[in-house]
Amino acid sequence: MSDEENMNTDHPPFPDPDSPERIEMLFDLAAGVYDDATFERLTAGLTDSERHEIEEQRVVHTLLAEAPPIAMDDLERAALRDAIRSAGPGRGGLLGFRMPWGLAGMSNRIALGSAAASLLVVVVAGSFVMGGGLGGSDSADLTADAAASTTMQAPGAEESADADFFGSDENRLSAPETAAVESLQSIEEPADGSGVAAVEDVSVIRESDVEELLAETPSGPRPYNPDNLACRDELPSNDVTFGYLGQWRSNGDDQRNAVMFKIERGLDASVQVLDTADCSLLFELDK
Amino acid sequence: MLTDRELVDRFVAGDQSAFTQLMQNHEDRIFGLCLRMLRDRTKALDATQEMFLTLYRKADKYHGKSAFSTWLYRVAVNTCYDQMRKEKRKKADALPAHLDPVDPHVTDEMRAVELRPDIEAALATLQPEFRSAVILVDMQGHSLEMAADMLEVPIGTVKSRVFRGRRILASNLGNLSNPSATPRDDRE
Repeated sequence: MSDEENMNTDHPPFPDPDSPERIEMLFDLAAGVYDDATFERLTAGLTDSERHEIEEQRVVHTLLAEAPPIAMDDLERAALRDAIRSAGPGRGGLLGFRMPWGLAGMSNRIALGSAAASLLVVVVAGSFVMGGGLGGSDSADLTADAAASTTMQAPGAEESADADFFGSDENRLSAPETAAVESLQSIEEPADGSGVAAVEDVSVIRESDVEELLAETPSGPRPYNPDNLACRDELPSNDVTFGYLGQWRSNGDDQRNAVMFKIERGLDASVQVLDTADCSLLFELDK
Repeated sequence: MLTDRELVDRFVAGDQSAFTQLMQNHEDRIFGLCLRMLRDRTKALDATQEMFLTLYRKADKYHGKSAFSTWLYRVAVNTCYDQMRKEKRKKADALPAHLDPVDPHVTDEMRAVELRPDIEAALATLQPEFRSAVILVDMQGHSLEMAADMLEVPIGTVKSRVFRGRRILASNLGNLSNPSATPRDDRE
C-alpha cells in the first residue's frame, strides 16, 4: 500500500513532514500515550514512513533508557566534597583552595588580583583627597566618577576570590584580574599628574558597539564576573554570562556610568545596559 | 527523610550538613548529565562543581516556585551550555576550525560510561539543545513537563527536540528499525 493510499481522514495529511503537529502526534504515538482504540485509529491513517518513524523513535528511546547511570568514582566524589567544604561559611576558605583536577597558578592570580584591588582603593582614595572631596569645584564630577571607579574596581577584587571558587572558568578568571591591573596602572600614571584624570581611562561602552558583544567571541571591554557587579540582582536569571563595567555612551551621546550584562539562554543572547546610579535600564538589545 | 525543600531551608538557616545531603541526593545525576553533555570527564567535574558552588551561594534565591530538582537541573544545563560556549570560544581563539576537527570517537575521558560507544558518539553529534532534551527525557527519565521547566521551553518544544534528536541518532546509528528508510532532513 502506498503512502497516499494509507491516509485516512482522522487527521489531515501534513504537508510539511516537520510540522509541529505531525511531530507531536508521532511523538505521542511512539510514547504510547493513547489508549488502544485511539492508537489504532490514528495509526490506521499513517504512511509507511510515519510508522517507520514511530518504530525508530521507540527503538532509540529504549536504547537510551537502558543506558546505565553514570557515577563519579570515589576520588572524584571526594574532590567535589572537598571543594564545597573549602567554600565554607563566609567563603573564608576559598583563597587557599585549588581544584584537584588542575588549575595551576591560580593562587598567584588571586594574590595579584587582590593586591591590585587593594592598591586601587588606596590610589583612588588619594585621588579623592587631591580632587577636593565632594566640594563644589569643577572636579566634583570627576570625583564622583572616581568614587564610581572605586565601585567599579571592587568587584575585580572579589572576583579574584571567586576565581578560585569557580575554578573551571579560566577566561572569566583571567580577564577581571587583568582588567584590575590595567586600571591600576592607568590610575598610577595619570596624564596630568592629578590622580583623578586617569578615571577617564575606564572602559567606554558605546551603543554602536553593543551588537559586537552578542557575537560568540566578543571583543571590546574586558568582562567581569557578573555576580560581583552592581545591579546584578536586577537580573534574576542564571543565564548572565558576562558583565561589563564602564562609561556608557549612547548614540545620542548620553554618558552614564553603567554596567552591561550579557545574557545567554540556549542559542539566544541579549545585552542589557543598566545605570549604576539607580539600576534603571538604559539600553537593551536581543539577538 | 527530609525533602529537598526542607534541606534547602535548613542549609539557608546555617545547617551545612543539609547541603551535603542535597549533594548526595543529586551529584551523580548532575555529573551524568554534564558528562553526556560535555563528553569530557574533567570538564564534567568542573561543571558539576561550578553548579554546586552556584547552589551553595544562591540557595537562598530558591523560592520554591518550581520543584527543587527542576531548579537544580536548570542551573546544571545552563552551566553545561556555558562550558560549551567557552570551549567554542577557546577553540575559535586557538586554532582554525579545520585544524581542530571534532573527534567523533569516544575518548578515554568517557571511561565509566557504559553506554554503547557508538551511541555516545552519535549523541555527541546532536546540537546542544537536542542533546540536553534527549538526555533529560530518554536517559534520565524526567517527565516532559519537568524537562520543559528545566530547559525553560514549552512542552511541545521538548517533544520536538527529543523527536528530532532521536531521529538523528537513528540515522547516525544506521537506521535501527528499517535499513531501507530514507534519511531525513533534520533541520529545526
